[in-house]
Amino acid sequence: METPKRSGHGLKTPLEGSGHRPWDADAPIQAPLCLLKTTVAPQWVDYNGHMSESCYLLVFGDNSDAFFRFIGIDEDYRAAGHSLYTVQTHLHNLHEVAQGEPIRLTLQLLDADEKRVHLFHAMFHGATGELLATGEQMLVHVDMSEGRAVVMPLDLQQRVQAILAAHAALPKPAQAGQPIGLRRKPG
Amino acid sequence: MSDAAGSLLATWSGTVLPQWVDYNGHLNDGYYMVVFSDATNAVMALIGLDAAGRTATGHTIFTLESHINYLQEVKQGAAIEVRTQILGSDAKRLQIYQTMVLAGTDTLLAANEQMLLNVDMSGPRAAPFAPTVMARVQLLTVAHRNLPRPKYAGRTIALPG
Repeated sequence: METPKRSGHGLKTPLEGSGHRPWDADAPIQAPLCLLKTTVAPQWVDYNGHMSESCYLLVFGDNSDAFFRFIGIDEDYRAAGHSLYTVQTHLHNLHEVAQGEPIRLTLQLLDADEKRVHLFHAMFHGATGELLATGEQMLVHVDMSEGRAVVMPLDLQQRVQAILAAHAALPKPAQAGQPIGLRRKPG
Repeated sequence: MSDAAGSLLATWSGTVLPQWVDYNGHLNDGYYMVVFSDATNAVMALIGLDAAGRTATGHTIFTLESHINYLQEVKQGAAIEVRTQILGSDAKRLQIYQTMVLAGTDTLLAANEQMLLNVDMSGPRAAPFAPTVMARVQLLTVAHRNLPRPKYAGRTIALPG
């Protein structure tokens, strides 16, 4: 794969510089979105050969990146001064997964307004279908030079609303909208 | 590391590494969890579940849930610290709250709440803390019992209104 041009700083996402699924206004929208499949990489696992807890969020970050690209937020969009920033994340770790095992991600839009996106990631074992982990996030559209929340451009809002409408009939995930507390039984 | 009554635990300090930052030179949202997980490892050591303790007891800690509030951008090279408060515990669970601050200040960068579960690795299955571990868990829980409830604990995620 060709190495994408870097601006001097750090992280490269798996999808950076690669082809990604373009938005097609006429195509039906998956409910939930299925934008990322991969296998558990050697650099994600701990001494036991299981995915480290901190790496689940990195994989959800890759899933967010696939979603961003799907709605039109890529390097060019960010270079023009806007991006989606994460303001909250809530993770549930349900089952371990070992190096080399296949995983697939889904992404469900729970809610959105003109500047915010509330989404839900689920990570499944690619062969058994077992739910491994979930990640609920609130993202806000930011003008990066001013460092403040601003409304999304209209085409972006329309895409987000189209996905939200396609996901309206999905059940609310059991893990969504919950605080952390000791009163609940251990999972 | 302090476990004096009422004081927060100093569980991590370091600088934001180049491999943790995004194209803007800011700590990527996924890597806050790397720092907070390291701080959790320090909590494990404090309750007797470092590598030697894990071998001796056959137990380890799983993070069941983790909630992050991202409050400020954090630049590459910034010196940061994590301070940990024990919110509660029972026979097999420990609830913690951690703040990421600029080193030597109270400037809050991010807040993290975690529910930890003691696990018998032979299962693996949830199991009560080993007695020596339980004693330390209770000591810390009591020491922090009268600390104020942190602002970003118990949060849920929802659009306003």
